[in-house]
Amino acid sequence: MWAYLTLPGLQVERLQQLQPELASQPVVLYTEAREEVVEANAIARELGIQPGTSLTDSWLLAAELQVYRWRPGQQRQLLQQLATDLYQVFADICLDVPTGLWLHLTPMLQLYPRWQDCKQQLICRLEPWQLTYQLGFYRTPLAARLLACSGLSQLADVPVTYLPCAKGLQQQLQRMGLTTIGAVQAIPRALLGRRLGQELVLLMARLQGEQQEVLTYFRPPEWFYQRLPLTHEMHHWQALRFPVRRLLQELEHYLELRQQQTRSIQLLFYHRDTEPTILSVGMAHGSYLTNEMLRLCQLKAEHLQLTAPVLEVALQARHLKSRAVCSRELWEDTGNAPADLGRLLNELELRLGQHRVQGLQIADSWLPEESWQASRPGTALGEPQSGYRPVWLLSQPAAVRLSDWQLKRGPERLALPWWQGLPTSERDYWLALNQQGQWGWLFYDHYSDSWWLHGWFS
Amino acid sequence: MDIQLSDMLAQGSVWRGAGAKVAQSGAAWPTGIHWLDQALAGGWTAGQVHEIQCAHWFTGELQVLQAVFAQAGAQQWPVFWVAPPALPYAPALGAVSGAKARHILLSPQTEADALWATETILQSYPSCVVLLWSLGLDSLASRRLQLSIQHQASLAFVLTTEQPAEARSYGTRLRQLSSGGQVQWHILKRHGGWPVKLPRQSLRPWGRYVGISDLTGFAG
Repeated sequence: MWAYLTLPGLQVERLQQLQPELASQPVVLYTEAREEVVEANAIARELGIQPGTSLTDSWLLAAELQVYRWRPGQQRQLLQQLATDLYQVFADICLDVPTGLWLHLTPMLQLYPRWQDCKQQLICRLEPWQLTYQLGFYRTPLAARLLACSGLSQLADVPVTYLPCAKGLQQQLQRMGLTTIGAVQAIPRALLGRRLGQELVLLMARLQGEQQEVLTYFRPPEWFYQRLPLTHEMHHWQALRFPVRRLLQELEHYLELRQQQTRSIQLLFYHRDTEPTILSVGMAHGSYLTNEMLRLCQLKAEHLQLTAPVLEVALQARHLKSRAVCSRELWEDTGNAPADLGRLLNELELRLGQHRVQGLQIADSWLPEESWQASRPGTALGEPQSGYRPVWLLSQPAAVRLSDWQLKRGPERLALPWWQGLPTSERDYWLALNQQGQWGWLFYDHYSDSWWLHGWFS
Repeated sequence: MDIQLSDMLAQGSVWRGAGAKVAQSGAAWPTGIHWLDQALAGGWTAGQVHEIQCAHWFTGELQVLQAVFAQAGAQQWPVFWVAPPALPYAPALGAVSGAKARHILLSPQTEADALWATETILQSYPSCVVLLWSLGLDSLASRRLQLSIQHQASLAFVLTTEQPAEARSYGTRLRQLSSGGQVQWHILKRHGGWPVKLPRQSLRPWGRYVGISDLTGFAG
């Protein structure tokens, strides 16, 4: 059992959803090659503009017409998004760009014994999309498609014009008086083949199920891409925030379905003649919420310079990984929503710069300069080393006069490793008190015969 | 109540005597120093910004925070160091706060960035310890930090040089005077008490000695 879903106004309805102000105006999508209308919204259809009308006629019928290009790439992408959503319930989906998609219902009969239940499930899944669609159900895929496109319930009633063959063949059939498929099916196959050719015989075989259809099944995409045309040219980031916010909401929905988070997103601003401007926002600790991503984009876009007016905005998210599940105690009194350290660190790193936010960690070495390392912020310190160490370390030891200091505790001898190629030297580290009452960490370097200050104990 | 008087109370220009004790909320984190704990009624109060003034850096201002680090490490709360004067040394922090403690170092370029970072941390993360080094915050900045930390369990400390005696909205203002190995704390402002000078004490160096037996993996 196969179901075919056709969506006659997919692109224009999606456009209206992303930009609600278009719903009150007549909108058409046209192809550039033949200057014909492909899709028209409800208001345009009321004015008499149907798919197939030429563009000049449409301009005559509606003065304030909003005209957009119908994009095959966009149609494919929207069908893929729809299929990704339906993939949660139906496993076998085949895309038929640009008309619609097939769903193989036979494997679903294990869950839903009657195909009418499958139909209910499908209608339920399609409801949030708010698209106009037509469904067709039959044993074979081609017949289901014909039923969906024509909107009829019986295969025998479908007119011959819906058959996917050359126009000449259709005209031949009509001149012979065979106007419906039922009439064609009534004639023996051999006679059809002799009079009208092999192609019609194969079509009939496909309709009846005697010939297998070659269909490639749909695999959901690994990453997210969505493009949004703007109603008018925009020059500044303040105006672009609203379409960007809508795109981020779509991304959040996409990530929510898969329980994933993204580590970097790219915003592409398309201009008329120049190359698109790309704004990359990186979130080292992953992110999936609209408000958070919008705030990070806002931080990054403060320095954005738009050289030309923007016509379209696109959002792309490639690096997706699964979310880390954080478990909390049930009886813990957290008060507000659980805080996310990763989110905070994303924001700090974005504003201050990644090299200015560091975590501290203990490294395994006896030399003071090498026994600490900068690590990913949020990592634990690690096992402590033995000994007594100062809380502050100077990045470069400072030369001191021993007469200012009073040595209190020590010495602790640390030797520089001979394999590093430096002149081998030993340092005697002392805890010392100076005249201002500060506790410092001095060392005496045997190689240079001098005293140095390496850290503070206070 | 008269409208002008309630405005002045909200701004903090009028201090209430007996009724004010009820309003204090937040756990007290002991400082580890007996006199200071007594003077501050238990220690550092959570949900408030505390100021520590000292004439020079490295004269023992972290001494009063050693117990705070130990407790934060035990609870695994992150400790944020914003614009410190030198590098905090990880092995020494590990000796005091334990292996699971998290210390994050921020080195912003400008004072405005440092204030923004502190405010963001306090607003976004409700259980952390933040240390900010600055040369002095004006009243607007200190009020903003106080508003960010209100009703949270976090602790915030601002370490500055000696400041003039203008009113600031800190929970506690502590000035450290040190001379010749002895340190004296002068509490300029505290909750529920007059300013007080504590007796001189000798300053111990910071930290804790970690012996071989303290390390995990050795039978001791």
